[in-house]
Amino acid sequence: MESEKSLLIVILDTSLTHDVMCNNKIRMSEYLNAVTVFVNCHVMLKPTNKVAVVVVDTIDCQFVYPDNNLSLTSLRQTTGQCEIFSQVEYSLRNNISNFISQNAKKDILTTEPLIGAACAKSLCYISRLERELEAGKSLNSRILIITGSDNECDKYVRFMNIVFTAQKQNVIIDVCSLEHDIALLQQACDITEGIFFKVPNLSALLQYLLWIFLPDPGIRKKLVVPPPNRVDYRPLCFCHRELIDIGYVCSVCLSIFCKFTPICTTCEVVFKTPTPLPGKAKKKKK
Amino acid sequence: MSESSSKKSSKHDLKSKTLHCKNLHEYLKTLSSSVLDRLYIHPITCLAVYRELSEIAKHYIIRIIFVEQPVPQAVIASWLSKAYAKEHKEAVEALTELKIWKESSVTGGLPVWELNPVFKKHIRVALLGGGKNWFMSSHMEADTKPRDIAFLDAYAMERWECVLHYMVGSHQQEGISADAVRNLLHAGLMRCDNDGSAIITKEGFQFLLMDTAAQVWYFILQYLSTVEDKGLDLSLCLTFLFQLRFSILGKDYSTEGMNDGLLIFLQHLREFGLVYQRKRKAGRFYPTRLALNMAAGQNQSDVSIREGYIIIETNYRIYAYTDSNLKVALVGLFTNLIYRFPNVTVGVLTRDSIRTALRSGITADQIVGFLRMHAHPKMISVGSSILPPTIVDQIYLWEQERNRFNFSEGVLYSQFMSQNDFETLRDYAQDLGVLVWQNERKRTMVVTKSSHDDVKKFWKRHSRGNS
Amino acid sequence: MSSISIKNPLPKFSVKGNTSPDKWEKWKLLLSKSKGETVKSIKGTPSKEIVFCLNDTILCHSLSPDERRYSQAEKEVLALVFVCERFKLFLLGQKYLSIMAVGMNDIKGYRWESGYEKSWEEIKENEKGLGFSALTESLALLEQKKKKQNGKIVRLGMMRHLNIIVDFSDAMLDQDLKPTRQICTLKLVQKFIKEFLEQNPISQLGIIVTRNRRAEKISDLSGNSRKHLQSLEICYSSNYCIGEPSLQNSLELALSSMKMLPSHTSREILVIFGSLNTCDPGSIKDTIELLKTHGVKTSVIGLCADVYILRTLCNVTGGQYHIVLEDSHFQELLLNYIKPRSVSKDCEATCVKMGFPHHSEKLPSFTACMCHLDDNVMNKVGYFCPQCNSKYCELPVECKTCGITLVTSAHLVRPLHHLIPIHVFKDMINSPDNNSQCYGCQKRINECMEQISVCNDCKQIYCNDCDEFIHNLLHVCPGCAVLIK
Repeated sequence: MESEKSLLIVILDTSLTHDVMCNNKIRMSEYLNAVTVFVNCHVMLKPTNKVAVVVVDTIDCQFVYPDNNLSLTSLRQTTGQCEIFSQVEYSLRNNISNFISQNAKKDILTTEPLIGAACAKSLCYISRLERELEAGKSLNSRILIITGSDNECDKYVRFMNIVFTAQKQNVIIDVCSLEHDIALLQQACDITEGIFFKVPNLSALLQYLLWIFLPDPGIRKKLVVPPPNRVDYRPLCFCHRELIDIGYVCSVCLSIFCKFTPICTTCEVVFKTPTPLPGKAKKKKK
Repeated sequence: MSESSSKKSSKHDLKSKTLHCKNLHEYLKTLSSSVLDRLYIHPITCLAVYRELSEIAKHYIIRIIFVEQPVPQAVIASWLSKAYAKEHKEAVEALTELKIWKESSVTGGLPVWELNPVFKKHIRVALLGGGKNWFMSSHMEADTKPRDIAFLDAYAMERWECVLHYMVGSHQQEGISADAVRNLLHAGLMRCDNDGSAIITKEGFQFLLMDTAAQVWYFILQYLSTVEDKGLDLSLCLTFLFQLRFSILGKDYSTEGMNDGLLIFLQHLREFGLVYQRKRKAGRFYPTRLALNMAAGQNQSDVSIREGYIIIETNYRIYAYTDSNLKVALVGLFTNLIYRFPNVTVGVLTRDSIRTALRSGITADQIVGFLRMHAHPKMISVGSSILPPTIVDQIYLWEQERNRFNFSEGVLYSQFMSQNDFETLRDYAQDLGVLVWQNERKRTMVVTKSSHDDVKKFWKRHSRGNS
Repeated sequence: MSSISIKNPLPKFSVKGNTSPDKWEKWKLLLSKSKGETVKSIKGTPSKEIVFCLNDTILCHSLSPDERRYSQAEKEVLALVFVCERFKLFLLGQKYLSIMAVGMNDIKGYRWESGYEKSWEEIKENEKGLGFSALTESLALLEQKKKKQNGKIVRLGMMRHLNIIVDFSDAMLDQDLKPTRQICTLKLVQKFIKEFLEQNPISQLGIIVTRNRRAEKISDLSGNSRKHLQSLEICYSSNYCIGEPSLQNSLELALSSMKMLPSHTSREILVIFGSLNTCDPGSIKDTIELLKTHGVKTSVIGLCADVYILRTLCNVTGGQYHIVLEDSHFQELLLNYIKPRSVSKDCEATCVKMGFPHHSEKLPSFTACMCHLDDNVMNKVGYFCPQCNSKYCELPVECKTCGITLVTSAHLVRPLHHLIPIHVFKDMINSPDNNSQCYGCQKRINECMEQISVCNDCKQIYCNDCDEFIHNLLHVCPGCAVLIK
């Protein structure tokens, strides 16, 4: 008796960058429609499939589905659409437009969407559902991040903490990038065994979503999916923000520098002057 | 030599036939294509059919649902890695059988799969919206006395157990209509005794041990096969059932716009507890969990309806934490009950008790399935195997004990004149693979019945050639 | 602490035993002179007897069947009486001090010193069934303590070198841990190694076993968990545990591999010790002093009674000494060592040169990697040392050719949450008419338990479960992640 539920959390970035919007590659409404249909397709696959949607921009992040405040019975069907789907669609439409109009009034302090915060929230939500599971059931969860941002979007340490937690909880992180190759998110996918995919043609966004991100990890093994890209794990040095091959690491706070410095700029510890040759030689021997 | 043929007695097969409950796919295959076409007009049935497909097939459909042209077969085959070619074949077969797509070819002779346009159109409606609204969801005022989910569950269980009670003969005859009885008789779950009262059959026992969702589905299938005799429209009823399946628990729906036939159907469903209606003419109804779970199959049902109540220990003791006479009676089908307390009944599994159950037509599979299904949450939380493996093995062993003999029909050849003749014929039969048994010393052999003619002909030719 | 003062000098004797009731049969009485400090450990026989020793005199007393049924405290008193009678000649006219050590509980003092406990009254019925209220209380206390510790920022040793010394003497065949001490320990150590290297990717581990009066290094200091786990496999055989352990030999061996390490790394030894005795070639005191001067923190997890010398070892070198109660407690104790230990402020810091290799884009052919040179395995992909271009199939690793440590940025980030722990949330009382939701899991607050928490920085409300999840696993407060600083 296998009773596996499958939970998909979609993290939806509404702070589409200037570039995406102005060049008219995709309109906001098209974008939202594509995601709504995608979410509904996941629900359609199996009755045990669950879905949650978190919307995120540069100011805030918020769960838009499931919606605790939506009453079941208030909705009456007006078209031939199945009720479960219209419920999803209704709450997405309502809550996202509320969310956007709310945040439009606030000042924009940064251009980076708060994907880390949204992931952290999602992991909390997943851990709650896992706690509430009935005995003998299991939950497969994954997070799909759809974003158009080009930034390194978050604080590296914080985001990596989230990724490691996801890895530990067996949560897969998939990323659908609308525009850019984002190194940080690529690492996240690589660590959690998810897929990172950059959409080459935005007008066919829905098709890409359905093809690549709809299949569950179990069935992905059977389907032919694009091969994983090589992920670059080289760090940026703290001093010049450049990718480095060989660096110097502070033994106290693990900050990375591209040249030897006498004082760590992060934790202000004074380093022992390097007489590295004897020490190194010994280290080799052992 | 004289060829005397004696038939090994073909006693009736001891293995009882198990009650087979068709799933939706198998059921739909039996329907005529015109009914299928009429069904696909409703978005909701498209959805129901879609959900029953295999996982691979589902992804095939979803990938081509928004593609306007037919898709070359080779393209679809390339979606799945080579190691899973068998699953690909099954998926393709299922889709063809259900007439969801059909084979055709475009100019140039490229074989393509073409999605059934009716299906394509309506599943899109179900997913995206548009089209006509459902006939049961027209607008109405909020219910003044809304019913909560707990109430609906209790109601559904009470109604359904009424039917089961009737079957076990727990003397609670009130509350079940002549229609339902007729349906039980029709399904072969009960039969009329000499004095006209209905008694339970072997199939009935097996029915009792199925899980609730399967019971309801089996029962409804039987009901549907008679529905046309009652003057109702089969496709309409099916569509209505599917709508119930995709409705939301705890929400009320309107009966407005339903024709008389459907209203009658609704009343029948009400009797079995699939829907709740306060009064016959209330104008609104609530679907219950029974309707939602129907045919969903065990691993798919989203919400389980009842708590498990059985604990089994490795010392073959069974503790059933229940007050219900029905549940105790069900457990009693295959256990020796020892004690009965206000909230718990204690029994023990013995060889005799299991054999009694096996004799009445229940299979070991069903017993194990029943125990697993109703296992107490405490047992589920313990480990991966819910039941103690020793108990499961022992139940199967007890079943196998009864099947020590294999009966196969055959024809006996004996009194061969020479060893040589015997060996010739035996080798011939052996080569054909029809030899059942032989004894060289006594010069006797048995071949299967179906090959008797062949062997006889060969023997005639052989003896003619010799003479 | 009971002391009878008569005259100097003070001979000290201690009764050693174990707290867990099922081990009451097996306990020891140990006597030693306070000044001379010649502590004698006694061979750990599963005793139905009391063993005493004063300097070099050993005395045994077999318990009669009646005495065997004595409770722990009664047995100790019996021992006292017995000792006083037998050693009368030595003790008369002297001031002496009795130290009775049972299990260990530093804070509360020894059990027999507290008043008569009506332990059955502590069993209270709660919604989960029967439970020791004192036990749950103390667990809650522990949890709070943990929380508080998390909040404090201390300097931690991030690059750790840890030698694990595992006792495989015949005492490990005892079945008080299920199925045997040996198997139970091995299982937990394997789990520990995996978890340790996952959480501390730039740290290194080594394994030393001691049995038959010898110490043997079965796995060198390295960051490769696969190799460690492999080398532990041989320890599973049932006749692996023989003879007596040698604490001194194994400590010396561990020290020799750590002496040469650069000064910025933290050096630690973790001893898992199952027997009550050790067979040493020289004075162990010297070894302990040596460990201290080299700054090697030594911690011990004991599987049976509290042993004096082990306690001294831990106290002197700044480690911790714990006695396991049962396997789950054992696991908890072990997993505690995963977190980096704090180091003193004056510990030297250095800049360590490290290489950050990346997957090569295109490879011409199959090549062998440095880690599998002996196995003749060729593969296409791998990481290349940026300094000398040697190929490795796994990271982190120390380059065999040029000695540089090869890591990825993810490895460096992994242990960082120990350095920057998130603040403890403030507790708040829940009210049923609170209409808001938990900021993490979206659960309605009025459906939650009575206690809820609020983050001091972002003022978001969390349910108890999320609080725990955030502090123990996630190490990120979702609310604070939204705030832009």
